Amino acid sequence: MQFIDVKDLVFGYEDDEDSEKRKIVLNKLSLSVKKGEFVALLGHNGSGKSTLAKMFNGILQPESGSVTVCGLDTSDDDKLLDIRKKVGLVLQNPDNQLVASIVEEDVAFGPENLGLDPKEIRKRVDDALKAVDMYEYRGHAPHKLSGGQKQRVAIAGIIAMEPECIVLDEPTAMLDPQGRREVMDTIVKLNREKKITIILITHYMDEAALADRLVVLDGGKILTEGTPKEVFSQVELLKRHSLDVPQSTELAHKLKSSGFDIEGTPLDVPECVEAIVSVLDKKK
Amino acid sequence: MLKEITLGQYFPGKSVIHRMDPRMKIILLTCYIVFIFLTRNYVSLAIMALSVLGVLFLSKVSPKLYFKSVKAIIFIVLFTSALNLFYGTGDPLWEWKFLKITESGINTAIFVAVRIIALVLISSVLTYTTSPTDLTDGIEKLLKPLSVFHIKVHEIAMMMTIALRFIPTLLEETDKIMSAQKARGADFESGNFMNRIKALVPILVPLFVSAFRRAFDLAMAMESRCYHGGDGRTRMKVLKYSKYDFAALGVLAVIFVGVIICNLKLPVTIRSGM
Repeated sequence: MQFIDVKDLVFGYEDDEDSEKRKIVLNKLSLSVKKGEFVALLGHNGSGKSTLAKMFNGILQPESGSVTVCGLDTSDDDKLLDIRKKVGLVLQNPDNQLVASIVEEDVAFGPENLGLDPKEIRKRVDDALKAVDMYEYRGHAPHKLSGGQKQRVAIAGIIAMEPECIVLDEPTAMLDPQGRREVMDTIVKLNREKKITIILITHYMDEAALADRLVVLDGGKILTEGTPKEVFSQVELLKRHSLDVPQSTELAHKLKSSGFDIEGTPLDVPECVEAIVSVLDKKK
Repeated sequence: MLKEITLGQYFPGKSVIHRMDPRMKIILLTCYIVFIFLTRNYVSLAIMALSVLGVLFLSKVSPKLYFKSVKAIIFIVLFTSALNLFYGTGDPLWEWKFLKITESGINTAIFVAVRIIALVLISSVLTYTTSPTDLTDGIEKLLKPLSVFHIKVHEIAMMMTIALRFIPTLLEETDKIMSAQKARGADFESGNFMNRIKALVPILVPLFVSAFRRAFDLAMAMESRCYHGGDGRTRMKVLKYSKYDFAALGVLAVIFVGVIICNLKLPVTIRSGM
């Protein structure tokens, strides 16, 4: 059994202008996620990726088809709490998801809802804040922190519930480059060290390149999926659906199409440098 | 500009008053207010006034802050005292046309002034030494018995917590919207009263839209974190009465008993409650 199983998922919204018409956002989408995997969901605006994010922990429920987490169906209201204990959701705007006016009390919010013993909550809060490197800010007010710091506190709030999976819906979209790096480092660390399953929704290709597997959505369906190298080697396909590839990949692709013999699909700057150097060496 | 507003005006510290349980502070404050108004002669008034000064001293909060809170109400104090001064009964000590000052008038004026100032000072101690979260926690615990009457105490406390959390965020947002509207040529400073009120509309509309959007997001985030009301919810910080609380309770009990004895044994100076 897969950890998360999405089968023939259909979901639509009512059209704003014409209430008769329904706008289909997710169209017969099937996807499964293994335990411990780092999956990145890509897609341009309106591809249904944010809607899909809210399906994983039952915030939204499928119109038809099903979403199951460890065999628990999200359309079963009695199972929702159990599902949300397993799957945490981090949203785009860090300001809107912090509940309390002191960092450590906000992180404690989730464990408090689980009805844990005060000592256990204290321990989890401290551990979670250390895991995101925010322990020394535990007594601060959230509104005095930077965007990246706030988002890390939000992630700590989810970690403190000890979920098996964290879904992040464009967690870096409102952050500056420094904050983005902080948050991405934290996410990668959680996946590698704590073996937490990560589903990252993003439109930054550089972030997506860090994942084990990419799933590209378009028009509520999966356009293509595979390892970052497999997906980003299909530069033409992605461009046709108005998606980008990482800059290094694009450079390599352009060099290749103008006749240079570049091997593979470089995803970041060091790989790209290596590929170009090897071509130059061959020319000598 | 708006960021300067500090709500609750909490000043962190480690004094004995800071360490007291918020529940005990709220209970004792209530008792204080009652006893301040129960004083009927100068001895009991002096006992209350001195004990208030003692509490201020123990709180280790800068006296400047207390002066500030008194300064804010000094006009009300002077005004009510002045009114009371001329409303006394009995033989006039001094008379000018329809104004007359009597002994009872002077007494009432002094009592009113001391009482109001003491009231404001002792209430400031609570807000200066208790963090907003502790305060809401204390209120939630104290109001808990009301849930017998189906009053949703937990929900009220949660709303207070969230309100406190979002005040700085929304103030910042208001600032941003004002700047954005100013950049588009909006004018908030000139014109008559009506024009200024009208100028606020372009601030309030986006502010409300954004507040609702935030509320929607927050609800989703809270649900994702397994929030399901107050049932089965525990707290990380459990309120516990400490030795400071019992000491304070003891000391104040002695003071209150003293006030009652003075009231009963010594001649009454002032009869009315105010």
